[in-house]
Amino acid sequence: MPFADSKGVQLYYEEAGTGFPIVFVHEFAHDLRSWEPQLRYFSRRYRCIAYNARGYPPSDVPKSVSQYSQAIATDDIANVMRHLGIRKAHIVGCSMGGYATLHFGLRYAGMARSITVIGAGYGSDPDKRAQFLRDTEVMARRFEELGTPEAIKVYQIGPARVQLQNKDPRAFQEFCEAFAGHSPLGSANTLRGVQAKRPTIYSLERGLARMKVPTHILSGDEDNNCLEPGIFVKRVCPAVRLTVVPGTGHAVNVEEPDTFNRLTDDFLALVDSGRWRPRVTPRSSS
Amino acid sequence: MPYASSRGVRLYYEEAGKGVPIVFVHEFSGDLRSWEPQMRHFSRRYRCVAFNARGYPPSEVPASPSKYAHAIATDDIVSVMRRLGIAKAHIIGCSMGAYATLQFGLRYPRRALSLTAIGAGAGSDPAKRAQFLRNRAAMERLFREQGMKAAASILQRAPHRVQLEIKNPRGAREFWKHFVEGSALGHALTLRGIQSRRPTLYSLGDRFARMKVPNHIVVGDEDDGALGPGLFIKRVCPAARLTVVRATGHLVSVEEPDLFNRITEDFLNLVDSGRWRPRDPRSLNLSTMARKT
Repeated sequence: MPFADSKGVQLYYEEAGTGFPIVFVHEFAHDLRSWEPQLRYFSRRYRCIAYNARGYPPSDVPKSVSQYSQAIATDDIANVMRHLGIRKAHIVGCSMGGYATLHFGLRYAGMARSITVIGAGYGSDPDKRAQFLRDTEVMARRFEELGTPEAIKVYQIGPARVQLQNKDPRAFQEFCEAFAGHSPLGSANTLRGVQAKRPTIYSLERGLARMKVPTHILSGDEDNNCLEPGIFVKRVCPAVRLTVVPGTGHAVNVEEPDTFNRLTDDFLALVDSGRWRPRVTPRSSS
Repeated sequence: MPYASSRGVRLYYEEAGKGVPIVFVHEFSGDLRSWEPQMRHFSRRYRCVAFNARGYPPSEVPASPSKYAHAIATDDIVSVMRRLGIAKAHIIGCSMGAYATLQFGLRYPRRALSLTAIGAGAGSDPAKRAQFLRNRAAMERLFREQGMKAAASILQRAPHRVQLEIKNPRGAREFWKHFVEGSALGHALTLRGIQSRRPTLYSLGDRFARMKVPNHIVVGDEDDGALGPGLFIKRVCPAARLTVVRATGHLVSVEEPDLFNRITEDFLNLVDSGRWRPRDPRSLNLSTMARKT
């Protein structure tokens, strides 16, 4: 099994295809298997890499919560790329992986040809921040006390997951099975170290306003906590384009793989062609 | 030339294709010719009908301001359908036409198979309402005093319209060429009677909450006046689905015809199949967890 070393932590990855690289960064409730439709599609033209975050076997599961943070998750992307000799890539991330991808665009701009961020923003709304932190701790305890299969029963049918259950029961079943196999320690540490402590999207305004990396933000129209952060990023950063996908919850790439692949293909082709341009300002933002 | 009569005013329409009907309702700066890519695409499977609003020749241009109102614009859709013997149709509107489409859903739900509303909501934001009304009054004077060309030179530089010029200069030339052929009086009266007086979308929240007609709200991510209202309708109306189209301004169907046709076809297919469902109430809480298991 191939692993990349990130400061002593071994991260499992898979590769498919040849060409310019795309690195896929998964969400909290899933792992690299969530990118299967993307690996099959984009490997025709790109070198696709997907890896499991720390805490997600076969990647290492560090015992200490101090080994988990937003900054470390972002560095992990860079370290997987370094291990594979990749200097620059398109980065595509979902939810927690979308946050890491956005931070990658801010901190490693020279290594990103573009970034695609799906469903990022949960925990950003100041009015619901306290509830977010409570929910995150409740979930962390559930993982510790109940084990993964029992812990996730309230999560896998959460308000931005029922869309997948309704529209694609087979994909939903696969998602639940993959989720149930996750490490309870890795999941609890990820919740406490990465999710509960990451800066909100709104607090990144100054960096985002200056970010030049071509960026595509995607959100489902029923992903209640990610819609406004998406519009916010669109408004502050001229390099951002925003897509909201109808009748869709959190993991747009899992729920609507065809739509997601097509939109992403269009975006990557535009960037690769050299014809991508940032938003015309100030004419189109007055 | 075919006309439908609506309260004594003749409305010009065109038809293409056979099947379940779709009625297209154009926006302020366009006319039925803005729907050409949709007429060509959807006429393969649907009976497509597009008409010119009152004030847009070859439709009549009544000289009296009292002949222009948002309620009349909505009734005009019904009049066109009656003329053609259409009991029920998918209604698709852009901007001003999207507003009429949404009103159609509120007032004539049994005549609508579904609603598609592109770029609706300009003038809804309470913080910018006064500015919106001043802007409409200034535009009305411009149409009356300086005519269509002068109005075009201002409108095409609007922040939610420059995207068309940037992406597709050939399409933009055609669009504005059609525009200047329009009636300055018709546009002035439309601004005064319809745009300045219609209730804002936010004021219709209670009614949208009860509206059961399957509806698809489509907004460009750079159409700042329509993003907020789009999100609002999605939140209050369980029958609404929302698409935001990337790097796009006001006229989604003109700027991104392929993408618009595709997402619209997906939506119409879902409704026509009988498998469309309103939003699952379980999706409404703001946690990541279900309320009960």
